[in-house]
Amino acid sequence: MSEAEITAIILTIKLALLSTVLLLLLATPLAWWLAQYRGKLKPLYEAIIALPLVLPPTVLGFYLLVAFSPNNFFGKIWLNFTGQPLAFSFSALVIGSIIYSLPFVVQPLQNNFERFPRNLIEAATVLGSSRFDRFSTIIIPLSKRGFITAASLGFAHTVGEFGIVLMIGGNIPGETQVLSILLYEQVETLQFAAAHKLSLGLLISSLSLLSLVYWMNRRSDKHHD
Amino acid sequence: MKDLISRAGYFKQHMNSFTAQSFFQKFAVLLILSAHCTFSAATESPQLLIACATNFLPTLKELVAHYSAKQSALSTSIKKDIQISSAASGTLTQQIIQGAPFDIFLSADAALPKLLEEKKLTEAGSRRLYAVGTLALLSRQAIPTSELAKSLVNARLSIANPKTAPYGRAAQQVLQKMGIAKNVNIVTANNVVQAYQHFVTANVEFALTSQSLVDSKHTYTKIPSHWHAPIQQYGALLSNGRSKRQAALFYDYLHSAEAQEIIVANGYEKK
Repeated sequence: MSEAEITAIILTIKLALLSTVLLLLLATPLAWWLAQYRGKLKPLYEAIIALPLVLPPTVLGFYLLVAFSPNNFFGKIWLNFTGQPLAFSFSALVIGSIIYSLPFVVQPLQNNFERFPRNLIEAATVLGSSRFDRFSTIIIPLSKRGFITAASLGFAHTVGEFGIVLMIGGNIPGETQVLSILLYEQVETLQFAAAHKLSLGLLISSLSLLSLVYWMNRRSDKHHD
Repeated sequence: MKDLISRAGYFKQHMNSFTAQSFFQKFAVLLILSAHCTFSAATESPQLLIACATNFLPTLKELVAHYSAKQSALSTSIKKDIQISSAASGTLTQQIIQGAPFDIFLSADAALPKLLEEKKLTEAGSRRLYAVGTLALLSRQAIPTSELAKSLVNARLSIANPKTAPYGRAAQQVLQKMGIAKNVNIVTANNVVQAYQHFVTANVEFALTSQSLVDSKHTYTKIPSHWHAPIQQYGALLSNGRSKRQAALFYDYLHSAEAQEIIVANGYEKK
């Protein structure tokens, strides 16, 4: 394997891991709130979260590129705080991935929380357990399946990201040249042997990850029965 | 409800007059017509398809407009339906290898048409130079050529990918020539247009792109052409094309003196 490929693999895993952790932190309260919320605007909020599923990555890429520009509010604030422009950096990819993979993490969690046995929480409240206690000792352990699905889909989807990275990444090795971009470059330069190797590797690892998720889901189904 | 029934009756009446015999006659005519269309598509398509490197797109559009206007002035029977597909030359080459039905390929370099020629995918003897590219450095303020190197040091510069784009390769040679290749923060764009887009959205301070793309409202400095190997753009007629007669006519026009004048006016050098 070439050095560029190893660098890209490490970078991709780093991006996917970091994005997944941040997504779980962000999506857990969001999904919990959505699961409880009964207001009129619920469909609108759900639609907003589902948007990255249907929007072409070019739409997100375009808006992000404009938002990251130091001429605009967000890009300017970032530049002032960090001293570095945001576009074409690893941070830019993390922000892009969080937006792009958000529905993949929120939706499984929300499904899980909506089916959560409410009487358990009520019982715990009556017994005087704190909000944090209830969350860490009842909700999280009982939503294991939802968390596993959410984390795996978030991870896998970030590894599979291409369109947005192509627009906001800038193809910099070690910084923004993730696997999908390196693969694209190999295809563009007619290095088909190398491209086959990477593609097959991605295919097998994605298939294994997804199979593992479905297998674990099935197992926990049986467990519940 | 009554209204619906009366309408159905009206429809039935008309259906009756449309006899089985006339139906089959019409069907046969349709069949022959469609067979004719499919058959003629295999021989000479009414549509001329040009695969064009991104940097040449604005120029090619102008050429096509000029060509079409000339053809209609002559009121010849020549079909003027010309479709352009623009992408990086490498991408287009790949599509041609995979059997894309392009009639003409206008590459941003010399190597890719040669590769297609070796694969017997071009019409014999049609590979020719059609334009010589020039580079322009986009910047926020005007910079004299002598101070280019100084202002680029430690700045963010977007260039096309040197691995896939001839203009990216030339840009890299320019940086090496200035002796600052290692002191510039390079952002690699997918092609010259994306490098330009990085500059327009203010995400980079400078961009090296093809001069043919530059809008006059942006500030730019022309890069002296001896700072990089000449960007020789070759084209070829493709053997997979479906509109060979039209393609040959347009290809002749592309190399005519008046077309070359338009090409040079769009920021290319004389061949």
